[in-house]
Order: sequence, then structure tokens, then C-alpha cells
Amino acid sequence: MFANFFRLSVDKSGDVFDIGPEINETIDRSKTIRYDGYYYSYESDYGELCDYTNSMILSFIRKTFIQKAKAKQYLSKGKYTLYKNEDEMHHDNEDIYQLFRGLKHRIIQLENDYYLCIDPACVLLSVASIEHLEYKGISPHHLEGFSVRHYTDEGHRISGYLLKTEKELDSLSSTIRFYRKPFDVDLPDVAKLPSDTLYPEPRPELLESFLQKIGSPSSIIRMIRRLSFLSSRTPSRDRLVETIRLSKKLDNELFPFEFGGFKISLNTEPIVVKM
Amino acid sequence: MSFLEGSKFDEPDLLFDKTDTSARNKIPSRGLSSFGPYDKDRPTLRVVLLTPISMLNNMEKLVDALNNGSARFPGGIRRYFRTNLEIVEKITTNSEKIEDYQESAIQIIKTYDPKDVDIILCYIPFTGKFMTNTPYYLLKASFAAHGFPSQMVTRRVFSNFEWSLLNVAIALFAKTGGVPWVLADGFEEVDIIVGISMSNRITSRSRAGSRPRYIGCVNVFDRFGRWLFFEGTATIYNEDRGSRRDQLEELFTGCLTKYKSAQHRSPRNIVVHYFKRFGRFEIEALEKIMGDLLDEHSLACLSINSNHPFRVYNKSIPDGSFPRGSYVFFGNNRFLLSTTGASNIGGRRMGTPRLLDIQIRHMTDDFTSKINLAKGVFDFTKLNWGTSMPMVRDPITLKYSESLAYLTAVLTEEDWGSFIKAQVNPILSRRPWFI
Repeated sequence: MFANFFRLSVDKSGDVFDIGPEINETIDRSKTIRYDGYYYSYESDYGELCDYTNSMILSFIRKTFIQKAKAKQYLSKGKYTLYKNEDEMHHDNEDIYQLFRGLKHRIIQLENDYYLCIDPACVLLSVASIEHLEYKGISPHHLEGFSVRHYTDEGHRISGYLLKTEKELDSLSSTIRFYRKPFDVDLPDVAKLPSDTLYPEPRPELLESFLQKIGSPSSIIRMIRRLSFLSSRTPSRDRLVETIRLSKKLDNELFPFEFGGFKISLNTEPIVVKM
Repeated sequence: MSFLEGSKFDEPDLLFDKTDTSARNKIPSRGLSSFGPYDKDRPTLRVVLLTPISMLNNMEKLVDALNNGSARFPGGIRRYFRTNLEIVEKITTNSEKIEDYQESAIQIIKTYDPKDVDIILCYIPFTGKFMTNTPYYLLKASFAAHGFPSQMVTRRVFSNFEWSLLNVAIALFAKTGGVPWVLADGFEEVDIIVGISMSNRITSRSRAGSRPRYIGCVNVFDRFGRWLFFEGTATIYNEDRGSRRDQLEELFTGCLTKYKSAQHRSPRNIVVHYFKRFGRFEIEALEKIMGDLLDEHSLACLSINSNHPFRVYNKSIPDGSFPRGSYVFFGNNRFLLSTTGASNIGGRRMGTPRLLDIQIRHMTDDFTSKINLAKGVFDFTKLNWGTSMPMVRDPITLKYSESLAYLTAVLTEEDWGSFIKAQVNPILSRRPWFI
């Protein structure tokens, strides 16, 4: 038996430096972690040499892993999902939604060892704005009653509930009630916004209903089921095979990686489970 | 660490009679068919039927099939539940519009006392869970506010008629206060098991302010997994530590008071299940609340989470899954448990099992075995009275609490009109109306 944990080896150990409880602008935050109220780095110029714990190294490994992944053109959805453009599943409605083979990950510590957990995952993105959906032929009357995300000019992403969409002269606007806003964003709880700044939540049933209305029906759910091995008679076996393939891909692309004097490599054999 | 260690729990027996301890089976449908329900003291269930006129004929056939049975449900509710559905009244609407249902709901509430009706059986159009201004939520709100349990059926019941009958029957029986089954062997060292949930607001209106607010609920079970009652907060709290502590205090004070009133003693050994990470703050708050309310107590707090990427695979099993009941030790006080893998009590399942990540966040010395606490989680996956399926992924402590919190959030947040008070009638606190 196996679990989807792949051992991370610390092939070389370096030093850790204590920056203190505060961090100034001259310090490159990408080379620091915050642990137990204090900042630490692997760069000697930033602080005083100090002792370190396994948990601190775990934090450095997690941060560096994401940095290396992004440098290799991995995109992220949320904190724990990665995917690449080259892994997109192509279809006829890519202006409405995008679907990718991706992976979920965690880096954990078990006793004194570190492990990378990898699990294949589908990534579904909703890429058509409310305005684009109306342009494709969906009546404004049908563009209400679901969650949306809004992008502000400053690049904030805020979620809310779409109350209604209206056409006024040549422009389309939507009324949205925000679920929660960042404190530094000056917007009322209910706002009328240009529909080209709003995107529906990536819910398969919702996107399928849009495709139905524009006359291009497509079973997104069936595609997701296939990518999730749900239509297989041996789903767990298939998922394990894909997991090992992903571990080798990550090993090839991202490992070994270094930060400061530390060097981390990946073992592509999954951990054994003994009953 | 070069490997993980694990083992396997035995599938628990379920009990289908209060006095006959041999009335056991591991599978609910077989146990009910052979022995009837655990609770055989309900010879009649009085039903008000509410349906659009176009579906009246179908609903009458449904009641007839429930009473008399069918090929897949031989003997019907009379055999499986030793009871009979008696239609008190049939109320029809002209259409499936929400306004028509509202009018009929008012008529029922004004005509009947909850003491005279066991359940209201309603046909409604199928609508998605995320749409709230629907007949489903309107009727649930109306009837819950006035103390009536209700059972909704949609066209899906009629398109899978034979397979739906037992599930509808179990839900009807349980919602009226009947006990379909319990665990045959209770937990040692435990008096009550409590499931906590807190729900977000999900309605489009009446969200005051920019931050969402949370409603909390707990469901309480005895050591045999028998559902005893629920407790919910009438007040709406904010998402901050002080509010969460106040919410926990209100929930557990109500919970312990209700238990003592029914059982004539206070619980001593309490296990709490929570779907989120139990923080140090919540644990300290619970210990203080228990210390204030109880003379002596022991407390175990378990976080149970399935939102993670951890998997285990068994290549000696044809589909490669980690069998149901199997678990691995995963760090100190932590288990990964399979509740939906290959099993000889259930048919083929789709996909790869999503394991439960069980973390024992707190455990006083009186609890001697962490394994027993994890087994409790496993056994509680056999107690879902909302289905005849022999296994369900999540323990009922979390499943019921999630359902209850979600429904309560909708029912108390929508503006249903002046005839519905924004709270669940206390009559229903001892009936699982929300399953």
C-alpha cells in the first residue's frame, strides 16, 4: 500500500538568520519567513545567525517550492493548486471557460522528515465576463442570481452576489452585493458596476447553463468526471499512476532546488503504508 | 520515517430493537426488513399532503406504495417501520408557483396544531440548492417556524421510484421522532458526542454590513449514536474570537441544560466533533464552559476534515482503493481514515476515497484510547437517517450539523413575510426535521 507522500531530502544544510520582529523595506521578502512572531531569512546580510527548528525549514521549503513553480510557468488557483497553460484541455468554448489538468499539493512534516503530497486535480476557470455572456446572446434577465468575482482598477479581487443585470442605452451594468471587501477598498455594500468587470463563479452547472443558452451545449461535468477518474472502473489505480507521473514531472522541473545553503531534492517513490 | 503504519476497524453492527439485542445487522435496509425499526412505538403517522393539483394522483400513489410496498420495498412502511401513513388532509395548489405554496402553507398552519399532525409531505419543483427564494425553503421555513416537520419530494423521486421509496420512508419516520436504528455496541467512556457547525449567510438580501455573520448549531448524540436533540443560537454572531466564545457558551449551556433535563443527570465524558481546526482558543473556551457548568467532566475535541489532498492506495484491491475502515497514523494524534473505500457491505463506489483527516486536538486523561475516539468517527458514518445507503463518508455529527446550520441560516435570513417568524419552533428541537 502507498500514500501520495513523496519524501523531500535535505541534501545540504545551511544557516538561518534572525531579522527580528519587524522587517524593513530593504529586505527582499521573498527570502524571508515569519515564524512565531519573528522574521527569518537564509541571507546572511539580513540578520544575526541563529538556531533553527524543523518547522522553520518547513516554512522555507514551502515558500521556495511555490517560487520555483511560478518561475517554471506554473499558475496557481488558491493556495494549494497548481496548473500550467500547456495542460489545458482544448474545446470549442474556450471564450467561456478553461479546463486544465492540475495538481493539489501540501508540504508537511512527519516526525523529522518532510514530504510533498501531490494529488491530480481539475482546474476550472470562468473566463467570460457578464458583458461577454450578454454579447454571446444571453438575456440580461438570465444574468442574475449567482456569485461573481469583481476586479477593481487596483487589481483587488472581490466576490459578491449578482442581483441583476441591466442594459442602459449602449452599456451593460450589473448590481452586486459584496460578500466581503478588503478594508482599504472604498465600495458600498451594494454597487452598480460595469458588467465587463464581473465574472461568474466557476461552477460547472452554471457554466453549462450558459452554454445551453448560447446554443453551444457542452458537458463540462462529464469532462471533469473523466479528468477525476470517476468514469473509470479502477479510479484509484489510475489516480495513483497519474500521481507518480506528476511527481516525476515536478522532480524534473523543480528539483533539486536551493535556498541559501540548503539543497532540497525529491524522492519520486511514494511512501509505503504497512498495516 | 520510511513508512506509515495503519490498521482497520471492523464494521459496526446496527441494532433494530430496543429490547432484543440479537436484532442486529450491518446494513440498514436488511436490518429494517428483518426486524423493523429500533423504535416500534409509532403505529400511525398522521400526514398532511401538499401538492400541485397536477401531481395529486402521483402523490397518492406514492403514499400507497409507501404503505403497501413494491418489488424493491416489499411490505412497505408497515413491514420496515411497523407503522402506517394516515392522510389527514390533502391540500392542492393550482400551480408550482411560490405564491400558491405560500397560500397553502398559511392554510395548513392556521388549521392544524403540531400535536395533531406528524409530518407534512410536499411535492415541490426541483430547484438548485443555491437558489433560496424557492418553494423548498419557503415551506421549510413556514413549517419549521410553527413546529411542523416536513418531507419534500420532487420529480426525482418519481423518476427513480422503486429506489426512492425506502429513503423517503426512513426520512419520514425519523423526522416524526422515530428512531430507525442505533449502534449495537455503544462507546465505552463516553456519555455524549456533540457535532458543531457554523454556517455562513447565503441569501442575497438582508446581509447587514460588509462582513458575513455566523449562526451556530450543535447536534447531540448518546453513546449508541442515537440523536437526542439539537441546539442552535437565536442570536447572530460576528466572526471574531469574543463572539465565537460567546456562541460556544450559549450553545453548550443550552446543550448541557437540555441533556440534564431529559436524562436527570449531567453528562461527564463528552466528545466534540468539529469540521474545522479546533484552535487552542476554542478548546480553552470549551474547558472553561464545562468547568463552570459541570462538577466533573472529561473532554475530547476532534477536528475532522476532508478538504485536503491526502490519499492512500491499495494495489491488492481490484480498484486500487484504500478499503473502508482502514486508517493510517499520520503524525501524533492524527489519523487518515477511509470511510468509502472497497467494502463488502456496499456496492461499487465512484472515484477514489476522500479520506477523513482526524486530529485529536485535546483529550483529557479519562479517555484512555485515541483509537477508540477515531473508531467513534468511523461508526458514526453508519447513522445517517436520511438515506438507506450502508455507508456515508462523513460522520453524522458533522453531516447533521452542517445540514442544520445551512437550513437555519437560510430560514432565518430570508424575508419570508410577517406570518413566518425568523426562528425554528422549539417543539422541533427533539426532532431531526432538517435531515
